[in-house]
Amino acid sequence: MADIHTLDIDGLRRDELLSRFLDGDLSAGEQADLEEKLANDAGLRARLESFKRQDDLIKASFRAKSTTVSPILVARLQKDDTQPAPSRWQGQTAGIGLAASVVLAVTVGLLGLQAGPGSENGFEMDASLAQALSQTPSRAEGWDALDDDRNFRAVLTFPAASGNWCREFMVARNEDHWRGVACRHDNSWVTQVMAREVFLEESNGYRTASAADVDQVSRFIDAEATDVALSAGQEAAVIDANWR
Amino acid sequence: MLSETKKAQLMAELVGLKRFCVSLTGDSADADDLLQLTVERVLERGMPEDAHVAKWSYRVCRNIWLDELRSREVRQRYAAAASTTDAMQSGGTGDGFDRLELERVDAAMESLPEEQRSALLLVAVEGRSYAEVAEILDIPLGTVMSRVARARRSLAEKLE
Repeated sequence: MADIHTLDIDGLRRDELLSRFLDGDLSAGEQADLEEKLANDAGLRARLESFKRQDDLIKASFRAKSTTVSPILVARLQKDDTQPAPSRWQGQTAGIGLAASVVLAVTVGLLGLQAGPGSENGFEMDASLAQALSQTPSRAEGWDALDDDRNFRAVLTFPAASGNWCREFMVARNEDHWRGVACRHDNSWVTQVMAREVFLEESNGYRTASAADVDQVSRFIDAEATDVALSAGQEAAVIDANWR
Repeated sequence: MLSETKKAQLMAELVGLKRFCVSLTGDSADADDLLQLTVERVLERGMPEDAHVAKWSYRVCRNIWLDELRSREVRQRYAAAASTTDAMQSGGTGDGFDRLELERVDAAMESLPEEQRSALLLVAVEGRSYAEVAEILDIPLGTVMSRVARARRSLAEKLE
Protein backbone atom coordinates (compact mmCIF):
# COMPACT_ATOMS: atom_id res chain seq x y z
CA MET A 1 0.00 0.00 0.00
CA ALA A 2 1.36 3.37 -0.95
CA ASP A 3 2.12 5.85 1.81
CA ILE A 4 2.43 9.62 1.58
CA HIS A 5 6.13 9.34 0.84
CA THR A 6 5.61 7.23 -2.26
CA LEU A 7 6.32 9.18 -5.40
CA ASP A 8 3.44 9.34 -7.82
CA ILE A 9 5.62 8.59 -10.84
CA ASP A 10 2.71 8.24 -13.25
CA GLY A 11 1.25 11.53 -12.05
CA LEU A 12 4.61 13.25 -12.44
CA ARG A 13 5.02 11.93 -15.96
CA ARG A 14 1.48 12.96 -16.88
CA ASP A 15 2.00 16.46 -15.51
CA GLU A 16 5.34 16.87 -17.25
CA LEU A 17 3.73 15.87 -20.52
CA LEU A 18 0.86 18.32 -20.02
CA SER A 19 3.30 21.01 -19.00
CA ARG A 20 5.42 20.50 -22.10
CA PHE A 21 2.26 20.46 -24.23
CA LEU A 22 1.26 23.86 -22.82
CA ASP A 23 4.72 25.21 -23.55
CA GLY A 24 4.85 23.87 -27.09
CA ASP A 25 7.77 21.59 -26.32
CA LEU A 26 6.38 18.25 -27.55
CA SER A 27 7.43 16.64 -30.80
CA ALA A 28 4.73 16.22 -33.43
CA GLY A 29 4.34 12.55 -32.50
CA GLU A 30 4.12 13.21 -28.78
CA GLN A 31 1.64 15.97 -29.37
CA ALA A 32 -0.61 13.78 -31.53
CA ASP A 33 -0.54 11.00 -28.90
CA LEU A 34 -1.45 13.41 -26.15
CA GLU A 35 -4.23 15.03 -28.16
CA GLU A 36 -5.76 11.62 -28.70
CA LYS A 37 -5.60 10.88 -25.00
CA LEU A 38 -7.09 14.24 -24.21
CA ALA A 39 -10.01 13.56 -26.53
CA ASN A 40 -10.85 10.40 -24.59
CA ASP A 41 -9.97 11.31 -21.02
CA ALA A 42 -12.04 13.92 -19.21
CA GLY A 43 -9.76 13.79 -16.16
CA LEU A 44 -6.73 14.58 -18.29
CA ARG A 45 -8.58 17.45 -19.95
CA ALA A 46 -9.56 18.83 -16.56
CA ARG A 47 -5.96 18.64 -15.40
CA LEU A 48 -4.81 20.52 -18.50
CA GLU A 49 -7.48 23.17 -17.99
CA SER A 50 -6.42 23.65 -14.38
CA PHE A 51 -2.82 24.17 -15.51
CA LYS A 52 -3.97 26.68 -18.12
CA ARG A 53 -6.02 28.52 -15.55
CA GLN A 54 -3.06 28.66 -13.18
CA ASP A 55 -0.86 30.07 -15.92
CA ASP A 56 -3.42 32.76 -16.66
CA LEU A 57 -3.58 33.68 -12.99
CA ILE A 58 0.19 33.85 -12.70
CA LYS A 59 0.41 36.05 -15.79
CA ALA A 60 -2.30 38.35 -14.50
CA SER A 61 -0.70 38.57 -11.10
CA PHE A 62 2.83 39.27 -12.28
CA ARG A 63 1.74 41.63 -15.00
CA ALA A 64 -0.45 43.59 -12.62
CA LYS A 65 2.16 44.12 -9.97
CA SER A 66 5.50 44.08 -11.76
CA THR A 67 5.23 46.22 -14.86
CA THR A 68 6.62 49.38 -13.37
CA VAL A 69 10.21 50.22 -14.05
CA SER A 70 11.67 53.30 -12.43
CA PRO A 71 11.83 56.14 -14.98
CA ILE A 72 15.08 57.19 -13.34
CA LEU A 73 16.58 53.82 -14.15
CA VAL A 74 15.34 54.07 -17.73
CA ALA A 75 16.90 57.52 -18.03
CA ARG A 76 20.18 56.23 -16.64
CA LEU A 77 20.22 53.44 -19.18
CA GLN A 78 19.58 55.89 -21.96
CA LYS A 79 22.40 58.12 -20.79
CA ASP A 80 24.90 55.31 -20.15
CA ASP A 81 25.00 56.45 -16.55
CA THR A 82 27.26 53.84 -14.95
CA GLN A 83 27.67 55.73 -11.69
CA PRO A 84 26.27 53.29 -9.10
CA ALA A 85 23.18 54.68 -7.44
CA PRO A 86 22.73 54.13 -3.73
CA SER A 87 21.17 50.78 -2.95
CA ARG A 88 19.82 49.24 0.23
CA TRP A 89 22.08 46.34 -0.55
CA GLN A 90 25.75 46.02 0.22
CA GLY A 91 25.40 48.25 3.25
CA GLN A 92 24.33 51.31 1.32
CA THR A 93 21.39 53.60 1.84
CA ALA A 94 18.38 53.34 -0.45
CA GLY A 95 18.41 55.63 -3.46
CA ILE A 96 15.94 58.38 -2.73
CA GLY A 97 14.88 58.90 -6.30
CA LEU A 98 14.42 55.25 -7.05
CA ALA A 99 12.63 54.54 -3.80
CA ALA A 100 10.27 57.42 -4.39
CA SER A 101 9.43 56.25 -7.85
CA VAL A 102 8.73 52.76 -6.56
CA VAL A 103 6.38 53.99 -3.91
CA LEU A 104 4.61 56.29 -6.31
CA ALA A 105 4.33 53.94 -9.23
CA VAL A 106 0.85 52.45 -9.55
CA THR A 107 -0.37 50.12 -12.24
CA VAL A 108 -3.52 51.37 -13.92
CA GLY A 109 -5.89 50.12 -16.52
CA LEU A 110 -7.47 47.89 -13.92
CA LEU A 111 -11.10 47.06 -13.63
CA GLY A 112 -12.36 47.93 -10.21
CA LEU A 113 -9.82 45.98 -8.24
CA GLN A 114 -8.11 48.95 -6.68
CA ALA A 115 -9.34 51.59 -4.34
CA GLY A 116 -11.61 53.92 -6.23
CA PRO A 117 -12.71 57.47 -5.73
CA GLY A 118 -13.73 56.78 -2.18
CA SER A 119 -10.20 56.05 -1.09
CA GLU A 120 -7.94 58.44 0.77
CA ASN A 121 -5.90 59.11 -2.35
CA GLY A 122 -8.07 60.53 -5.10
CA PHE A 123 -5.24 59.89 -7.51
CA GLU A 124 -5.43 56.13 -7.19
CA MET A 125 -5.97 54.45 -10.49
CA ASP A 126 -9.08 52.62 -11.52
CA ALA A 127 -11.05 51.92 -14.67
CA SER A 128 -12.47 55.47 -14.79
CA LEU A 129 -9.08 57.10 -14.75
CA ALA A 130 -7.64 54.64 -17.25
CA GLN A 131 -10.58 55.29 -19.55
CA ALA A 132 -10.16 59.03 -19.22
CA LEU A 133 -6.48 58.71 -20.08
CA SER A 134 -7.39 56.67 -23.14
CA GLN A 135 -10.16 58.90 -24.45
CA THR A 136 -9.87 62.50 -23.24
CA PRO A 137 -8.12 65.12 -25.38
CA SER A 138 -5.60 67.38 -23.66
CA ARG A 139 -6.70 70.84 -22.63
CA ALA A 140 -5.02 73.90 -21.16
CA GLU A 141 -7.73 74.67 -18.64
CA GLY A 142 -11.01 73.33 -17.31
CA TRP A 143 -11.93 69.88 -16.17
CA ASP A 144 -13.78 66.77 -17.31
CA ALA A 145 -15.88 64.94 -14.73
CA LEU A 146 -14.26 61.63 -13.92
CA ASP A 147 -16.86 60.29 -11.54
CA ASP A 148 -18.95 61.49 -8.61
CA ASP A 149 -16.30 63.50 -6.89
CA ARG A 150 -13.22 63.60 -9.09
CA ASN A 151 -12.35 65.76 -12.06
CA PHE A 152 -9.75 65.06 -14.68
CA ARG A 153 -7.65 67.08 -17.07
CA ALA A 154 -5.30 65.63 -19.67
CA VAL A 155 -2.45 68.12 -19.97
CA LEU A 156 -0.32 66.81 -22.81
CA THR A 157 0.74 63.71 -24.71
CA PHE A 158 4.30 62.87 -25.69
CA PRO A 159 6.29 59.92 -27.04
CA ALA A 160 8.73 58.32 -24.57
CA ALA A 161 12.10 56.90 -25.39
CA SER A 162 10.73 53.43 -24.79
CA GLY A 163 8.49 53.97 -27.81
CA ASN A 164 5.36 54.16 -25.66
CA TRP A 165 2.94 57.08 -25.43
CA CYS A 166 2.84 59.01 -22.18
CA ARG A 167 0.39 61.59 -20.85
CA GLU A 168 0.75 64.26 -18.24
CA PHE A 169 -2.54 64.72 -16.43
CA MET A 170 -4.23 66.14 -13.37
CA VAL A 171 -6.90 64.78 -11.04
CA ALA A 172 -8.86 66.97 -8.63
CA ARG A 173 -11.10 66.05 -5.76
CA ASN A 174 -12.43 68.77 -3.48
CA GLU A 175 -9.41 70.86 -2.62
CA ASP A 176 -6.87 68.21 -3.46
CA HIS A 177 -5.08 68.01 -6.76
CA TRP A 178 -2.62 65.52 -8.13
CA ARG A 179 -0.39 65.88 -11.15
CA GLY A 180 1.28 62.91 -12.78
CA VAL A 181 2.49 61.13 -15.86
CA ALA A 182 1.21 57.76 -17.06
CA CYS A 183 2.60 55.76 -19.96
CA ARG A 184 1.23 52.90 -22.01
CA HIS A 185 2.62 49.45 -21.14
CA ASP A 186 1.08 46.18 -22.28
CA ASN A 187 -2.11 47.96 -23.36
CA SER A 188 -2.60 49.54 -19.94
CA TRP A 189 -1.75 52.88 -18.40
CA VAL A 190 1.03 52.74 -15.85
CA THR A 191 1.69 55.74 -13.64
CA GLN A 192 5.33 56.73 -13.75
CA VAL A 193 5.40 59.68 -11.41
CA MET A 194 2.96 61.79 -9.42
CA ALA A 195 2.88 64.83 -7.16
CA ARG A 196 0.21 66.29 -4.94
CA GLU A 197 -0.76 69.92 -5.12
CA VAL A 198 -2.51 71.92 -2.42
CA PHE A 199 -5.30 74.38 -3.08
CA LEU A 200 -4.79 77.74 -1.41
CA GLU A 201 -7.58 80.03 -2.53
CA GLU A 202 -9.40 80.86 -5.73
CA SER A 203 -7.52 84.08 -6.38
CA ASN A 204 -4.09 82.53 -5.91
CA GLY A 205 -4.69 79.34 -7.77
CA TYR A 206 -2.70 76.39 -6.56
CA ARG A 207 0.53 76.03 -4.74
CA THR A 208 2.44 72.80 -4.84
CA ALA A 209 2.74 70.94 -1.57
CA SER A 210 6.28 70.03 -2.41
CA ALA A 211 8.31 71.69 -5.11
CA ALA A 212 10.57 68.65 -5.16
CA ASP A 213 7.64 66.38 -5.94
CA VAL A 214 6.41 68.49 -8.81
CA ASP A 215 9.96 68.87 -10.07
CA GLN A 216 9.96 65.13 -10.25
CA VAL A 217 7.14 65.29 -12.79
CA SER A 218 9.06 67.84 -14.84
CA ARG A 219 12.28 65.88 -14.58
CA PHE A 220 10.54 62.77 -15.72
CA ILE A 221 9.14 64.49 -18.79
CA ASP A 222 12.51 66.08 -19.56
CA ALA A 223 14.23 62.73 -19.30
CA GLU A 224 11.61 60.64 -21.07
CA ALA A 225 10.13 62.75 -23.83
CA THR A 226 11.82 62.12 -27.16
CA ASP A 227 9.86 64.76 -28.99
CA VAL A 228 7.62 67.74 -28.36
CA ALA A 229 4.08 67.16 -27.16
CA LEU A 230 1.59 66.10 -29.81
CA SER A 231 -0.63 68.68 -31.46
CA ALA A 232 -4.39 68.37 -30.94
CA GLY A 233 -4.76 66.76 -34.37
CA GLN A 234 -1.93 64.27 -33.80
CA GLU A 235 -3.29 63.41 -30.38
CA ALA A 236 -6.79 62.83 -31.77
CA ALA A 237 -5.33 60.43 -34.35
CA VAL A 238 -3.49 58.49 -31.65
CA ILE A 239 -6.65 58.32 -29.52
CA ASP A 240 -8.59 57.05 -32.52
CA ALA A 241 -5.94 54.42 -33.12
CA ASN A 242 -6.37 53.25 -29.51
CA TRP A 243 -2.81 54.30 -28.64
CA ARG A 244 -1.13 51.92 -31.05
CA MET B 1 29.68 50.82 -23.11
CA LEU B 2 26.67 49.24 -24.78
CA SER B 3 25.92 49.86 -28.43
CA GLU B 4 22.71 51.73 -29.18
CA THR B 5 21.19 48.52 -30.52
CA LYS B 6 22.00 46.56 -27.40
CA LYS B 7 20.80 49.42 -25.24
CA ALA B 8 17.47 49.45 -27.07
CA GLN B 9 17.21 45.67 -26.68
CA LEU B 10 17.95 45.93 -22.97
CA MET B 11 15.35 48.68 -22.66
CA ALA B 12 12.79 46.34 -24.21
CA GLU B 13 13.68 43.67 -21.64
CA LEU B 14 13.28 45.88 -18.57
CA VAL B 15 9.68 45.02 -17.74
CA GLY B 16 10.32 41.30 -18.12
CA LEU B 17 13.49 41.63 -16.09
CA LYS B 18 11.54 43.43 -13.40
CA ARG B 19 9.10 40.53 -13.20
CA PHE B 20 12.05 38.14 -12.97
CA CYS B 21 13.46 40.25 -10.13
CA VAL B 22 10.12 40.07 -8.31
CA SER B 23 10.06 36.34 -8.84
CA LEU B 24 13.57 35.92 -7.45
CA THR B 25 13.23 38.22 -4.48
CA GLY B 26 9.53 38.00 -3.68
CA ASP B 27 9.74 41.62 -2.60
CA SER B 28 9.14 44.76 -4.65
CA ALA B 29 11.78 46.91 -2.96
CA ASP B 30 14.41 44.21 -3.40
CA ALA B 31 13.24 43.72 -6.97
CA ASP B 32 13.87 47.38 -7.75
CA ASP B 33 17.30 47.26 -6.19
CA LEU B 34 18.10 44.08 -8.08
CA LEU B 35 16.98 45.58 -11.37
CA GLN B 36 18.98 48.71 -10.71
CA LEU B 37 22.14 46.74 -9.93
CA THR B 38 21.60 44.56 -13.00
CA VAL B 39 21.38 47.55 -15.32
CA GLU B 40 24.38 49.15 -13.65
CA ARG B 41 26.40 45.95 -14.03
CA VAL B 42 25.51 45.55 -17.69
CA LEU B 43 26.25 49.20 -18.43
CA GLU B 44 29.52 49.10 -16.55
CA ARG B 45 30.86 45.83 -17.91
CA GLY B 46 29.09 45.66 -21.23
CA MET B 47 28.57 42.38 -23.02
CA PRO B 48 30.16 40.55 -25.94
CA GLU B 49 29.00 41.74 -29.34
CA ASP B 50 27.46 38.36 -30.13
CA ALA B 51 25.72 38.02 -26.75
CA HIS B 52 21.95 37.66 -26.65
CA VAL B 53 20.85 40.65 -24.61
CA ALA B 54 17.92 38.98 -22.86
CA LYS B 55 19.77 35.83 -21.89
CA TRP B 56 22.83 37.80 -20.83
CA SER B 57 20.93 40.30 -18.70
CA TYR B 58 18.78 37.63 -17.02
CA ARG B 59 21.91 35.72 -16.10
CA VAL B 60 23.61 38.81 -14.75
CA CYS B 61 20.47 39.49 -12.73
CA ARG B 62 20.34 36.01 -11.29
CA ASN B 63 24.05 36.03 -10.41
CA ILE B 64 23.70 39.34 -8.58
CA TRP B 65 20.79 37.94 -6.60
CA LEU B 66 22.74 34.80 -5.69
CA ASP B 67 25.63 36.99 -4.51
CA GLU B 68 23.22 39.05 -2.45
CA LEU B 69 21.68 35.93 -0.91
CA ARG B 70 25.11 34.67 0.05
CA SER B 71 25.93 38.04 1.50
CA ARG B 72 22.69 38.07 3.47
CA GLU B 73 23.38 34.66 4.87
CA VAL B 74 26.65 35.96 6.17
CA ARG B 75 25.01 39.02 7.62
CA GLN B 76 21.97 37.03 8.80
CA ARG B 77 19.76 39.68 7.30
CA TYR B 78 17.44 37.49 5.35
CA ALA B 79 14.65 37.40 7.89
CA ALA B 80 14.54 41.18 8.17
CA ALA B 81 14.54 41.63 4.42
CA ALA B 82 11.81 39.08 3.85
CA SER B 83 9.47 40.98 6.10
CA THR B 84 9.76 44.18 4.08
CA THR B 85 6.35 45.44 3.04
CA ASP B 86 5.61 44.88 -0.60
CA ALA B 87 4.63 48.32 -1.85
CA MET B 88 3.28 46.89 -5.06
CA GLN B 89 0.61 44.74 -3.46
CA SER B 90 -1.93 47.41 -4.28
CA GLY B 91 -1.71 46.40 -7.94
CA GLY B 92 -4.46 44.45 -9.67
CA THR B 93 -5.52 43.26 -13.04
CA GLY B 94 -8.10 43.88 -15.63
CA ASP B 95 -8.00 40.29 -16.85
CA GLY B 96 -11.17 39.21 -15.08
CA PHE B 97 -9.63 37.64 -11.99
CA ASP B 98 -10.64 38.83 -8.58
CA ARG B 99 -8.20 39.95 -5.93
CA LEU B 100 -8.77 36.85 -3.83
CA GLU B 101 -7.73 34.57 -6.66
CA LEU B 102 -4.63 36.61 -7.31
CA GLU B 103 -3.71 36.64 -3.63
CA ARG B 104 -4.05 32.88 -3.50
CA VAL B 105 -1.88 32.36 -6.55
CA ASP B 106 0.64 34.87 -5.20
CA ALA B 107 0.86 33.00 -1.92
CA ALA B 108 1.17 29.69 -3.75
CA MET B 109 3.91 31.05 -6.00
CA GLU B 110 5.82 32.44 -3.04
CA SER B 111 5.72 29.07 -1.34
CA LEU B 112 7.43 27.39 -4.30
CA PRO B 113 11.18 26.83 -4.18
CA GLU B 114 12.89 29.76 -5.91
CA GLU B 115 14.28 27.58 -8.70
CA GLN B 116 10.80 26.33 -9.62
CA ARG B 117 9.25 29.79 -9.36
CA SER B 118 11.88 31.35 -11.65
CA ALA B 119 11.60 28.60 -14.25
CA LEU B 120 7.81 28.82 -14.33
CA LEU B 121 7.83 32.62 -14.55
CA LEU B 122 10.27 32.62 -17.45
CA VAL B 123 8.22 30.05 -19.36
CA ALA B 124 4.63 30.91 -18.48
CA VAL B 125 4.81 34.67 -18.09
CA GLU B 126 7.78 35.70 -20.23
CA GLY B 127 7.16 33.08 -22.92
CA ARG B 128 10.77 31.87 -22.98
CA SER B 129 11.52 28.51 -24.53
CA TYR B 130 12.93 25.72 -22.38
CA ALA B 131 16.23 26.12 -24.21
CA GLU B 132 16.40 29.82 -23.34
CA VAL B 133 15.54 29.14 -19.72
CA ALA B 134 18.20 26.46 -19.54
CA GLU B 135 20.74 29.03 -20.68
CA ILE B 136 19.50 31.79 -18.37
CA LEU B 137 19.38 29.59 -15.29
CA ASP B 138 22.46 27.62 -16.32
CA ILE B 139 20.78 24.24 -15.91
CA PRO B 140 20.18 21.28 -18.27
CA LEU B 141 17.12 21.33 -20.52
CA GLY B 142 15.61 18.33 -18.76
CA THR B 143 15.87 20.13 -15.44
CA VAL B 144 13.87 23.04 -16.86
CA MET B 145 11.09 20.66 -17.96
CA SER B 146 11.07 19.01 -14.59
CA ARG B 147 11.07 22.28 -12.60
CA VAL B 148 8.28 23.80 -14.65
CA ALA B 149 6.14 20.67 -14.38
CA ARG B 150 6.77 20.34 -10.65
CA ALA B 151 5.94 23.99 -10.14
CA ARG B 152 2.61 23.59 -11.96
CA ARG B 153 1.88 20.42 -10.05
CA SER B 154 2.62 22.04 -6.68
CA LEU B 155 0.49 25.04 -7.56
CA ALA B 156 -2.40 22.78 -8.53
CA GLU B 157 -2.19 21.07 -5.15
CA LYS B 158 -2.09 24.36 -3.29
CA LEU B 159 -4.90 25.96 -5.25
CA GLU B 160 -7.32 23.04 -5.26
